[in-house]
Amino acid sequence: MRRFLIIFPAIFVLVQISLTIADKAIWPFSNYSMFNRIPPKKGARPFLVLRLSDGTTETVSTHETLPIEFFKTFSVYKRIFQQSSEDKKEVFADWLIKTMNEEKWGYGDEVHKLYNPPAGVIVRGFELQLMNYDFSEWSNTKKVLISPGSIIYQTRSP
Amino acid sequence: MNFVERFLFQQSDVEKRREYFIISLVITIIIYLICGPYSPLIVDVHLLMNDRSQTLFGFILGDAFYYQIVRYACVVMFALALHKKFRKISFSAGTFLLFIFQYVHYAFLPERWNFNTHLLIFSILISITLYFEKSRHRELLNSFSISFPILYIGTLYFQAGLSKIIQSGLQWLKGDTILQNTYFTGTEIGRYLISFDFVPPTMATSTILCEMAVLFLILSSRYRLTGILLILLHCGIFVFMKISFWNLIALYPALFILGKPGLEPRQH
Repeated sequence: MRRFLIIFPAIFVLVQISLTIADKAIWPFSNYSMFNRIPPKKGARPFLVLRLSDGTTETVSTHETLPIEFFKTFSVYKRIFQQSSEDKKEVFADWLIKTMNEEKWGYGDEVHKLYNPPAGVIVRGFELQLMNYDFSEWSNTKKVLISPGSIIYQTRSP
Repeated sequence: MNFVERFLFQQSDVEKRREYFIISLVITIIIYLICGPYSPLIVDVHLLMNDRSQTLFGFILGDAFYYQIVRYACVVMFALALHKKFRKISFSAGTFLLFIFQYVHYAFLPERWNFNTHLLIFSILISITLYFEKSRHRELLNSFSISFPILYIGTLYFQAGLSKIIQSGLQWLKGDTILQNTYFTGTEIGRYLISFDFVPPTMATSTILCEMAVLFLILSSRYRLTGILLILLHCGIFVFMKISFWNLIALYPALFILGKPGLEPRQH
């Protein structure tokens, strides 16, 4: 027993560190690669541009729309809007709008509150859009240039 | 007895610290299952993402009712485990359901990120040790049920620091990762603070230093210092990036602060 209790943690630690070096995860082992990459100074991030029933639009992060860990939300969008069939995309889009309007979920995870439209207003449609950002002037101006980029998916106009 | 054996088998004040650890683990799992990122979302959308259920326990994804039954049965089992009388059976049953539950969530979206499996691994460990409570290995296992989670946590932070250095090199210390994530999804205070040029690199450097130091602090038995340092690190991360990691921090008082954390004195 004693020998096993020495060998087991040694192997466990070795597996975990090997996964970190390989940048892979084999459930339930984890590489714990949190925020390990440097995003480029100029790049694009996904946002949802929501079309509301009062004629306005609202831009929200994908983090604020699905009740799972915030760092997994864009993976769900990518799987559906870049790999699924048109029918599935439409079903998902309808489902998403419905859950936002019904305020079905409170918090996405324990920290991030999910988006719900203001009282008396409903979400009619959305565009999943990449927003271009540019941090190159940050050190002088403390401003980030943000401009609309390519649209990954947009719902039909109601 | 060598250093490794002392660390693994001679944790001090073991009975009390182990009880604190079991209680905090159980409460953390219950809160995580109720308020955490587990929702029937995956029941609603898994068929849109995957052509068929790709999990061994795919029936859970077939109906939100089954999903909620498993989720809340798990909560009830862990709640019962708070009472010593029911602990052995209910902790094991809860661990089995947690295994199914976490596996289904992983299979739903098998990405590189599965940062919550420590709860499952610690539960499996405690379940096993509960079955040896009356054996002659009891003392070894009681100490191990404290020392292994401590070693796991030390390794976790070491991995987090190592991963940053491997993937991004020392450039990570410039703080661009913290700057951009705080800007887009952080708190208002965090956004204000990153406007000072020295803040992102200072945060980045102190993050990596803390992460790499934890394992060494643990191995040199500075437990209280480790616990306080980690809680402060996570408070800092929350203030900037609005990321809580509460399901780790909740275990730190039991492992690093309460009771008499450390090793038994050497016997001459």
